[in-house]
Amino acid sequence: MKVSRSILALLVLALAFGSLLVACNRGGNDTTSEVTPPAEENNNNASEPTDQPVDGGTVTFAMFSAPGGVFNPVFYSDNYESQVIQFTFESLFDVADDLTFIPLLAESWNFSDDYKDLTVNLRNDVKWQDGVPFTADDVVYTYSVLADPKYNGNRSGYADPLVGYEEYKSGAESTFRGVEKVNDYQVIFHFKEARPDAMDLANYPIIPKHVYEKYTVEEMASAPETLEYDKLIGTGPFKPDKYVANESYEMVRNPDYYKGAPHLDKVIYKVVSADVAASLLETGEIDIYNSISPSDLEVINSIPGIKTHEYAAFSYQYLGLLMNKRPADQIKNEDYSKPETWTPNEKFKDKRLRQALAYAINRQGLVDGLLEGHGSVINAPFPPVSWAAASPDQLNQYPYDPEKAKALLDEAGYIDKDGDGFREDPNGNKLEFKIDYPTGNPVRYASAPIIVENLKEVGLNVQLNAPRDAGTHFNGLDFDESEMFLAGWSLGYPDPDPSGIWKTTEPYNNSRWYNQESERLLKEGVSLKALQDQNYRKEVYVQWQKLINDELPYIFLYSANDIDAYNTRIQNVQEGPLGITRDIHTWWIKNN
Amino acid sequence: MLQYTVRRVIGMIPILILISILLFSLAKMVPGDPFSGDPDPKIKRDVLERQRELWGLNDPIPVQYMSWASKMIKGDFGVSLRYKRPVSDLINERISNTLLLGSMSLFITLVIAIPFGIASGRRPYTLVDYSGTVFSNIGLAMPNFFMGLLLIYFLAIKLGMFPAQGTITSGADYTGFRLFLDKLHHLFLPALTIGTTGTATYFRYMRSEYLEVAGRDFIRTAKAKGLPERMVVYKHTLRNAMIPIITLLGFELANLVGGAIITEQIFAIPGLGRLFIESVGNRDYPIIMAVSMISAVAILVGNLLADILYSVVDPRIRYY
Repeated sequence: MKVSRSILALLVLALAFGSLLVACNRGGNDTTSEVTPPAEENNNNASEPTDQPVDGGTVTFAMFSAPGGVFNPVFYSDNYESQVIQFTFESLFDVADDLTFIPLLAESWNFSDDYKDLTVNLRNDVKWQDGVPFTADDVVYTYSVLADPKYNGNRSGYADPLVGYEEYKSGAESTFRGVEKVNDYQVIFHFKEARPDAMDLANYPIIPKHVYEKYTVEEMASAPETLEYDKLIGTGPFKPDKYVANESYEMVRNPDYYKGAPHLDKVIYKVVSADVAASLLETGEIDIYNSISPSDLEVINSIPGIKTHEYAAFSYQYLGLLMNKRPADQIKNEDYSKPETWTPNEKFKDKRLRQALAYAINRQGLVDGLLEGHGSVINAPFPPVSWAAASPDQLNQYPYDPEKAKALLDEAGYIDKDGDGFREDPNGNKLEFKIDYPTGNPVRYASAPIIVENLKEVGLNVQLNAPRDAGTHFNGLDFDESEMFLAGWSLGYPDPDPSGIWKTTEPYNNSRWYNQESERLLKEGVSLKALQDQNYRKEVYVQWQKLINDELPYIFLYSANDIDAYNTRIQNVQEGPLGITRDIHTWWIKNN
Repeated sequence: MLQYTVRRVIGMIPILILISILLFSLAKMVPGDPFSGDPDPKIKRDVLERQRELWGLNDPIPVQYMSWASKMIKGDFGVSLRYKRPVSDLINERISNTLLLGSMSLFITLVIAIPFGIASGRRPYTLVDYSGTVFSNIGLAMPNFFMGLLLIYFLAIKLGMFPAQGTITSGADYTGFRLFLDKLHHLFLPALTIGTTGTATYFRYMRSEYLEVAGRDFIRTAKAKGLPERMVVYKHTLRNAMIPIITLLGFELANLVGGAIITEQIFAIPGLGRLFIESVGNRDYPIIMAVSMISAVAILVGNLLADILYSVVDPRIRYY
């Protein structure tokens, strides 16, 4: 009696639960209506080149964090915001696969002889997405906003190098002279001095004057046209249409796009969790998954109808060495300007020790083991596809060679005299190294103990400090807190000038490397002669790469690859070193 | 009773002030600030320095605290240092999701735990009892993360019965009641994930309290009087067994607000928990303080409600 009652109770509960599930199924088909599972056939796009593009269809991109919500290019600071506006707002120039500039909103351009003035001729057939023509007024307006006294965003660096910036910023002048309108389709950028990144600086996304001029710059920061995604007006192939804050962002085709009306009806950015992104590719809920986690690669390769594109990421990881120490008061005051007062760090003074570190660390092993081959060893901080990169035979590749490392250490006088297994310094004092490393990048995190093992094997007493969160770690580098540290940088493009990180007095020069030859070469690389003659400039940079490859203020470790996965029903995807979204207006959907 | 409530509410104020000072100091003691974490070499240091000045980050900490507190009293949560938008906007975008998710999971927890707890209490050491214990302990032992992924895989991806991510169907433009149903549909799986974890606690309390009360003399009297079983169970036993449950529920209010960070992450639900964790990583003090203060208020209010509920459930409890 007791038992059957309780079984009955269980059954009733199960029934209730089940009916709840069924009831909820009512709305279950909504998400599938927009979803097209990937094509089952082993798709070889090149097999039918005579296919004509058809209009229609939607492509959904995955993103893993919600954009902050400030979509006006002049104010945004978030990587995620830049993703959802990349097909809406455009700049004057585009970047080709070899990192040189090609026309976009600009048709042609030329520099004055002293390289201080950049004349840009704009296309005359571009319209904003609300029909108003794009003109030079918009370019002048955008830069005036960046130079405005009340501008509080962090992009003023794009207007700072232009003539008249201080005068306009302080209110002494009422017009910004830095960008001059010659006529409706021609502007001149007036730089204070000749500089190699002039085109980069002139390449900020342009905002429509007629939309924003009714606000003061202060008001603009909180205007609806800044904060509400569906109110953005750009010149690009897709126009923002609808959005659900923090979840999905939809754009529709801009039929008047000057390069040709896009074939796709819609492009959607959807916020999803990275843990389920691979499964969502399979159900068709997302079509494009950028920068996949390496652990998903096997799963994704097994999904029919999904293709992956692998390319070198524009970033690298390194083991930094603190070459010089600043006096305590300079550290406290964040003063980086007096390298003559810095004290060399005895531990890293000998180049042979630094090179021994490079030979001792099995960097290829890190690539093969932690990245599963999806990356490459790096020996100088230049993107390999850059026109300015040194070729591998011009640099020391530092192949993994513990014996060579030991030989170098012996030669430099680092011998283990007391038999504890660890080398002492040439003066016979105990030698100990501590490596600081951050959380946040799983591969880097896993590489730390491996590096320690490698170094111990050649007799160096290296220990790991407890890992810290990235914010604390990078903050500590500003204060010279770490003698050895794991970190990474992105590789700047388009312009290869490394001064932003490597100029001695730069706060970002976190190894505090002070080398006169490097200073000279960096300066030479941005001299007028270099600007006028690209071959000469490349020569200078090759010499610089050779120098840093020899001196090793960092032990350059590896550069991971980026892998993008996309649904093969999308046609005309151009796979390149910068990703897959080039010329998105030519994409079309082939439904089988 | 009213006097008591008023006194309690007034007493919350010094507690909240203390909490705010403590949290503020702790947050500021962590090295770094919103502008130091992710170095972008294209942005010059002096630009970042200027931003620091603008947002008052170089002022002494008591000055920063007073400026924050004086705005907070007027209901101004300030502007996010990372997103440059009012904190209240950021919270409003997310709080309805968090509250709805929290309520649904609490509902699922109670719907499962209480009846099972009672059933177990009525028939200890039987099949019902054992199955209840096993089920709720599985819910407790299985990590949120794993449970969530299992549910997504089986119910969302394989069977397609529920959506895998998000809170509403994008592009469908529902409004009103239809929108509410859509949200329920989307939040069911995450609520189930969180709900099953919490069942063990409530189940065990319910069961042990029920057993304890059921053994008391007055219950024997009630049965001896011939009262129908239903009345004995619900009107007499249950009412007395509810007290620890109410205690737990008092704290539950804070959990509703605190959000379920991992679940929000897996199901891509924009909620307060995720916002809070991200703002800690970004050193976004206005958001950290705002969410913490909301949680603190929720805990204090929850406790007060629990105390008041005691006196409703048990007339012997009086407050002076």
